Amino acid sequence: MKPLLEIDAVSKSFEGLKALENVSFGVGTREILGLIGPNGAGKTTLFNLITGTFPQTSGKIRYKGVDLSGMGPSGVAALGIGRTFQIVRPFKELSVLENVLVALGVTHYKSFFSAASWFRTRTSVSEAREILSRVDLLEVAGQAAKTLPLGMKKRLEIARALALHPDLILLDEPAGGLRAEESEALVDLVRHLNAEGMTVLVIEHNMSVVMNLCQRIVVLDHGIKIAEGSPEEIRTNPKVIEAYLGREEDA
Amino acid sequence: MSAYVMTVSITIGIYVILAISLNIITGYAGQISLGHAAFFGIGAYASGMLATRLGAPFFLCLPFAVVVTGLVGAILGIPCLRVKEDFLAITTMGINFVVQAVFLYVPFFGGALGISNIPVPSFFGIEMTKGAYLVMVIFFVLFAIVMDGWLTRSWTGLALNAIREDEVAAEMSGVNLTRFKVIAFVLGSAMAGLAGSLYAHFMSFISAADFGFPESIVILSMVVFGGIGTLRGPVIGAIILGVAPELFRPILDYRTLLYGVMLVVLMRFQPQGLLGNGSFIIRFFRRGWFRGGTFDETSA
Repeated sequence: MKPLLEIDAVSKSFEGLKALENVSFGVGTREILGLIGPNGAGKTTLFNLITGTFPQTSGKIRYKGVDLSGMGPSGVAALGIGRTFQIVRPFKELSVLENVLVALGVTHYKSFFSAASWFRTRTSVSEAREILSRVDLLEVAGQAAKTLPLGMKKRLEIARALALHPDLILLDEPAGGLRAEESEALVDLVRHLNAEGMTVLVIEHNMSVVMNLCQRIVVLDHGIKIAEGSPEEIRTNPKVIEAYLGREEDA
Repeated sequence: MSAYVMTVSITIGIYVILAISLNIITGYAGQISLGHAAFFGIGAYASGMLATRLGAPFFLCLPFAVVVTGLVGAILGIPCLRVKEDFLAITTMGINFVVQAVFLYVPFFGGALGISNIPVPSFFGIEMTKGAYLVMVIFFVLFAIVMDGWLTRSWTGLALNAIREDEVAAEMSGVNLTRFKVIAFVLGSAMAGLAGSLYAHFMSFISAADFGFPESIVILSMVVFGGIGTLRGPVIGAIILGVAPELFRPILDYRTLLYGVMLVVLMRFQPQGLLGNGSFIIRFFRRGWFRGGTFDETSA
């Protein structure tokens, strides 16, 4: 079966610095795929390429068989690829509900007349509230997003991604900076979404989260894919151990 | 009502429209503009020239000014898409100087003599009185308020707010930055063009000096003073700062200086302005009389 997202021989250089080199892998439908690697391995760069923040130097990225190049971030979002950020980026002054409504508007932004219609309708508000209840944020719907603690802001970003009606969500260190119980709740949430049919590509540094959550893992180091396999295979892969701990002569 | 009060009221009405229009660009979409007087001027010149050169009636000149200014807003908005914050401030300021220089030095625009003898609007040969003009200005102020209210309730308004809060997150939520920034520039400049047309036919004489950088600062001061990003803010700001120089005639010469000082002080101590969300006055009222009166989204 064809993968939902295909990363096909993708390279990216920034003025001579090779951030990614000839990376290829696929993300299967309804899979939770982990993307790990030491700092500077190119994980977030890959997310930025998928979401169209900047173009790749070479290679192709396909979603449901469609080439994503040249679509730009809003075009990719409209296709149904949601994303969260390593450092949270809520719309601070807007309410939690409005944060979700912004992304629900994706179906309205294309036509001028639809974009001129009022956003706070019975349908849109009830749908936004339904999404907020899925991430357990309904009780703070009316609060400004800036007032939320970090764990809630992370869940708000997931809610915002869900409002795009995505089939694929990209999570950039969802457990980063969270306390143990918060990150457990987050793992539960992601697993729950996956059970509902969501495909997840997740960058994570917390190894217990990665090993627990992911069905398959891709390891990047210095922009090169060094391993791909089940959590068990990755755990014992000598190349991965070397990338994380360094070679003996380096130590 | 004396002629003097009517004149001041008409001027304030025009400022209210200008402040509302700048607030769309700077308050809602978060794109700082230090050159809004340029669009005010483009509207005034478009309307004034159509009336004097081709003898077009006012009810054609006004929509013409709105359309021309909106189009120029779209064209001048494009270079602004590539820059942010400080650089956007400098770019828009530059646009103001360039537009003013074009009015001043290109003979087609009347040069230093400006455009004079712009006719007072007349209907079936009857010239509009000052009182009638005031009524018309009030009508357009209400029109601007309604348009603004609509905008803030629309998906477009929500998208603009998202851009102001975080451009990257807005894009990832499906908001096309280019499209919505251009929409903000077009709406804001078209409305400034409306104000320009009203100004031209009221003053009957306009020149490049009326639409310089200091004028842009006056408009921005009104928006910031009242409370940027809200509708009530620019309206109240334009009224207060429009009336103030009339009440304190001696300070008129120092107006721009005072506005500059006021902007700095506000930015330091009360960046929300007098009536912005979270300002001391609004906090006072929310705590006092209107407790529980705010819209509760959990019950929506």
